[in-house]
Amino acid sequence: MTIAACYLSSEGIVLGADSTASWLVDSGGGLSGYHYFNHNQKIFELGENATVGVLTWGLGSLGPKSYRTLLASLSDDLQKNAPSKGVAEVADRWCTNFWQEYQTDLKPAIQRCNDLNAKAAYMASPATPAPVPGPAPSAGTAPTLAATVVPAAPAMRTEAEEREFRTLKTGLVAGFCVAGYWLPDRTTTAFELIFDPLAPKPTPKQIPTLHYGFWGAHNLMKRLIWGGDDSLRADILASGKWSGNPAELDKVFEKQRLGHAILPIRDAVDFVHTCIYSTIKALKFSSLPQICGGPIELAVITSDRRFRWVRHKTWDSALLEI
Amino acid sequence: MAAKHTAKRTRGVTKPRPTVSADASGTEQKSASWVAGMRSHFQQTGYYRVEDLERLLGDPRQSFEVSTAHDLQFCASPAHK
Repeated sequence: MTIAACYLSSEGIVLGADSTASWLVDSGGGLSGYHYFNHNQKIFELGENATVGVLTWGLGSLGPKSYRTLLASLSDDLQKNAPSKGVAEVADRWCTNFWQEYQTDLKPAIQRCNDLNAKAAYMASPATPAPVPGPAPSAGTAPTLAATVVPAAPAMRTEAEEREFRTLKTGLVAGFCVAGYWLPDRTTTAFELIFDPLAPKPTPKQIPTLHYGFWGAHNLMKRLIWGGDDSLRADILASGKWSGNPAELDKVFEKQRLGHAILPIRDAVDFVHTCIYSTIKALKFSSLPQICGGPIELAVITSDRRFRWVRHKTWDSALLEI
Repeated sequence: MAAKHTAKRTRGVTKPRPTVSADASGTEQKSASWVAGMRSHFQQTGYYRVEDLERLLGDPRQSFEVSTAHDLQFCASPAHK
């Protein structure tokens, strides 16, 4: 997994990410744990001397085709056929290209995920007996008590299938943030794309200016900035001890929120770096798997300059890790 | 002198030490059932269940998005001046 961030300030955009790629290892006796590569690339300059960058999280690659190669091909295409609708069109074209590859290269896994999704969730001890399917009544006949039809219940996933389903449902999610500007328009903008094995082709979602977003392992920053995460909120609401409604609980959270004024772009860089660093350290000091880590990468695209690296690991970075 | 006092305090004394698992009343704090389940599963299998990771780290299909424009109003409100 990843911690990825995009900050849209009035001066430009800051992109940030960690560098860890996590692999669930199957040693023959079932999945035995995570293996990590700490020098993966998650921020890409779209071509050379570019004004657009791409940030990725979730699924790390599509088998033999790397994101690096796919994005380079998109860059070549943009040189030949310049987009007339700016970054929005760049995001659209990436969405179309990636969807095609995603659907092709991961077809068996996506199909398996959807097949498992069609089954009912595994339950160790069903609370109610499964309904008995009956024959459908023929047209024109009044249903009698005996002929009352209970819709056929979908088959239930086995425990192993449930585990497989949850792994596929999460592991096949691929996310991208396409950000920057496209001349002659110098307005910086960003679009989020999330490819979900259980959903149709996504539509790029624009992230408004003066917003920032986190993806991947975003809960830790949500706890810090918002005062709690979705699980805490759900647990409080389900506890039976909260007498208010959900909106009233959100107002309580709102009071804990850490806000800040418009940041100068270098302070926005500091903010993004701090958030990624904090997430990495929170995982380290909570004895959780170190699914975020490695060098922190940062890039900035200001409205008056092209894509620039603030921090970019060198080609020998992995050699220095012993 | 100081060494003498130290020797008196420590010799033969077996005071119970507070541990991180005890609260102010001295009772043991138990982990939430899902945390205990997560740890137990990890000890047995060597990996974390996807649902536990989602609960801890967040749904990868969702983002956590914040508007700093909202923060501007927040920071400018009388309570924060």
